[in-house]
Amino acid sequence: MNAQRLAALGGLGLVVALVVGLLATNGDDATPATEATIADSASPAEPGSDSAVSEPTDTDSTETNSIDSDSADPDSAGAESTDTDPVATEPTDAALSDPNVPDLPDRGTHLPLLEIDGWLQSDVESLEELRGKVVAVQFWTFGCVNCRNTMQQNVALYEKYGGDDFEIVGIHAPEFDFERDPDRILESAAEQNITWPIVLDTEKRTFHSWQEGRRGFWPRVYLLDRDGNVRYDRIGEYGDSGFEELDAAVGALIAGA
Amino acid sequence: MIDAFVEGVRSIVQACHLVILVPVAAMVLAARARWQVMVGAVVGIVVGGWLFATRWLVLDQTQIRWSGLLVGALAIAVVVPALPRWFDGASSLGDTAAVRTLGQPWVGASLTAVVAIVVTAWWRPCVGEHLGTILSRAPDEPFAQLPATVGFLLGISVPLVAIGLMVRALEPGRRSLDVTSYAAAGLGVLSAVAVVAGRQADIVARLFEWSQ
Repeated sequence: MNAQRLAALGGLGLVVALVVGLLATNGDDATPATEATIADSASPAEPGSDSAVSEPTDTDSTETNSIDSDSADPDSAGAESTDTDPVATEPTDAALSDPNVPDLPDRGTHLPLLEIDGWLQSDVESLEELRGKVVAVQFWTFGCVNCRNTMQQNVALYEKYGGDDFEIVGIHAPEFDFERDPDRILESAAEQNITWPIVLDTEKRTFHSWQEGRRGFWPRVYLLDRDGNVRYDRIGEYGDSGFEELDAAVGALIAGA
Repeated sequence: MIDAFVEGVRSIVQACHLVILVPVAAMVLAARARWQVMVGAVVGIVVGGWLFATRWLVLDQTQIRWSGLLVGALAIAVVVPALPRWFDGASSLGDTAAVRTLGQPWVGASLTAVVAIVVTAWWRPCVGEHLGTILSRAPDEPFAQLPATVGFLLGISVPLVAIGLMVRALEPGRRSLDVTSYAAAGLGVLSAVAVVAGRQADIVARLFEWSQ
């Protein structure tokens, strides 16, 4: 019995040391997202489900009770990205031949935005108005740590590609009640340098429609090509290799993949 | 696999995993923290988590509520063998083959594994980088993602092993162990009731807000 107790004590000590050690190093090895451009480790992705795909339809039967975003930056994302376009990228063959480019199967037209409560920071009121651009649609909520961990990389992506060729649309689907307040969403967006359009999916109808019922995840990003077809899907934080893959996928889609 | 394990360990401070960890920890304690039960808990979480990631096991809202009843029933079943020692009226129970069987370590381990598999279907994970990759790819390449999935789930199982080891290291007397078992079974039943009543998300939300 004593031996068993000793074994248990030793095991417990090891477990505690492991947890404390790992928690203590949390963040020490975090690489700034914008540095995640080293092209060495990304592997081809098999985009996940095709649940956000519908047969081509007359989408945007969207109910957009658009919220006037006076409180937001009047230079909304669309306008800003068109004007600034800091690192405009020419579609090139190089983007298509980037080894980080994942498979980008055409999964059909995206599903419509269902019963949304409006748009913030936006000149547009439907995804259809963004045809002709590659669009990254990200499901997020401001209280989600994992979503927050993608934002710096989203900003980098927006700075690199934003303009006539690329747009980000953040579909804000609150997980908890305190995340339903548009003012707090805008406040959080400003804090995280989120300047792209935000769709309010307060009742999570779009969230559950694009994903699979209760299997909705935060964050989740879909890439739509210029024709509005879903071409890429990633759940969770990007990390370095995920960001390289996403970056390459956007570049390839802009280049006409 | 190692990276995924590390992410799993780090994520145990997030409220998202409590829907798994609370009922399974309750089962581990209710079944007297035997070694076999700890193994059953970890195996159940790994199997359930893999079924979750591959989307081979998807429960709708109604099924989830029914599964809450199952979890509650199993949490009670696992403490039945201890009842005869506390309640005179139940003393005759102790002699029955069914109760003796329920008291076997492998039965406790099996019931705990079943609970672990079921509660992973309730999971709404916080999705970091490695879990994100697993969830994105596992439906299309389930076996390629198996090592990473196992790594992550072993990571989030660490608290269960720690709880079991702590109980074993403290080596409580039979009476204390019985009290712990009853209390843990009660916690398991409460978790189940929260799911059956559809209040589980609210509870996690409160914990989340409290942790902010």
